[in-house]
Amino acid sequence: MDAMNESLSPLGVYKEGMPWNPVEKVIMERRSVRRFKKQPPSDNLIRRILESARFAPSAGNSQPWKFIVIKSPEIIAEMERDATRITKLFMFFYGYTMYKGIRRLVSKIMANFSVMRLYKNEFCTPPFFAMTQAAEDQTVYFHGAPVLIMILQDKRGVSNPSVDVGVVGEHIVLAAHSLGLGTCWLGFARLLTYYPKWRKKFGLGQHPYKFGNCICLGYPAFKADKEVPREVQIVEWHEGSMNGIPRFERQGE
Amino acid sequence: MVFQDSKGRVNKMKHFTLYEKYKIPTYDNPKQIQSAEIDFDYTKCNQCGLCIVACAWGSILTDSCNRADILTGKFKGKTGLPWVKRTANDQVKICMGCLTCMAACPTGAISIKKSFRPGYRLTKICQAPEMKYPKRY
Repeated sequence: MDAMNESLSPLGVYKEGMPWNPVEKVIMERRSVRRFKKQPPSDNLIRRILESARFAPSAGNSQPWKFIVIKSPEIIAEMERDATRITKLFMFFYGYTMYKGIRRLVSKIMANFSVMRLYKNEFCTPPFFAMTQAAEDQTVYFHGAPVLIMILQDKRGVSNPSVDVGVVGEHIVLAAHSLGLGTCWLGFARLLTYYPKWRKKFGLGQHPYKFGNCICLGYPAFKADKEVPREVQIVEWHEGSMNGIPRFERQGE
Repeated sequence: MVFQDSKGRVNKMKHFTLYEKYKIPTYDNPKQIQSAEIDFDYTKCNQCGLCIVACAWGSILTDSCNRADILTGKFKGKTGLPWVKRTANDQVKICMGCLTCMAACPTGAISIKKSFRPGYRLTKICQAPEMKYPKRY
């Protein structure tokens, strides 16, 4: 027990302005990796990463997840092809930033009165632009990754199972990064749920499970880790009495 | 909810009007979407193509290639000087300022001038426009 406390003590003691400890360093310097070496990570390395996922916290210890490891280049290539195909279909109708003149106008009206209202989160600015880029063959969704880990969400999970999927995914991502792998979240794998073929293959629609998220893994082809600037965050601090006004602090400045 | 003035200071509580709450911004109108602006220092650039590969949307291009070309192995060698793609009406740059390109750049040729700020329904309330590196408190 003593040895255990000792090994953890440099992580646990806080001094003002001290350098990042190893956990913080992984968090601060991790960037998404979008190009991988061909050589896939060994099976035991993937098992080791999934072990850190097994011990992720979840609401009521319900563990509302199922993992699917995809290592076949053939299957990943077909996923890529199908995801791009359905993107092209969507963007043919709704991708108005790709067009000019009358076609843009018609497309914009169609988008604003249908998908932009129905699927608010899927069609906000970032995924919309990413999909227009994929539809124009400017980018690929799966980055040629050697391994995908698909996380399915158990609909019967306690309280809010999608949060638990996020937590388990972050465990996978940080553990993989600390072991020298590059990772990237691939929320666009959700596009495959429109195909009965993929729903059947991965059980995406079979009763307890639905699509949660997807993470790609592999040895990074180049060094992508560095600290980058981010927006200053405004945080509300309540310190005074019940009737007091909160203090707004600019976190990070 | 918090409202920031032009300097990013918090001065009063922001309430969305009904119009602002439901109005979808036009994604290729610069008055309704402020896209991020990254700046390439072409004197430092060695045309390795790592920023093109690292870009989440594949929106960094050169004359000779784009991201899909490099990833699928169609293109190899020196890429030429990169720039950021714009929407079809040439008004808005397709960039969200995630800065993965900045981290990937081996010569430090990329810097950011403006952060990504969509308007109306997607207005960011608790993120000030300034970009800062992580701070060791």
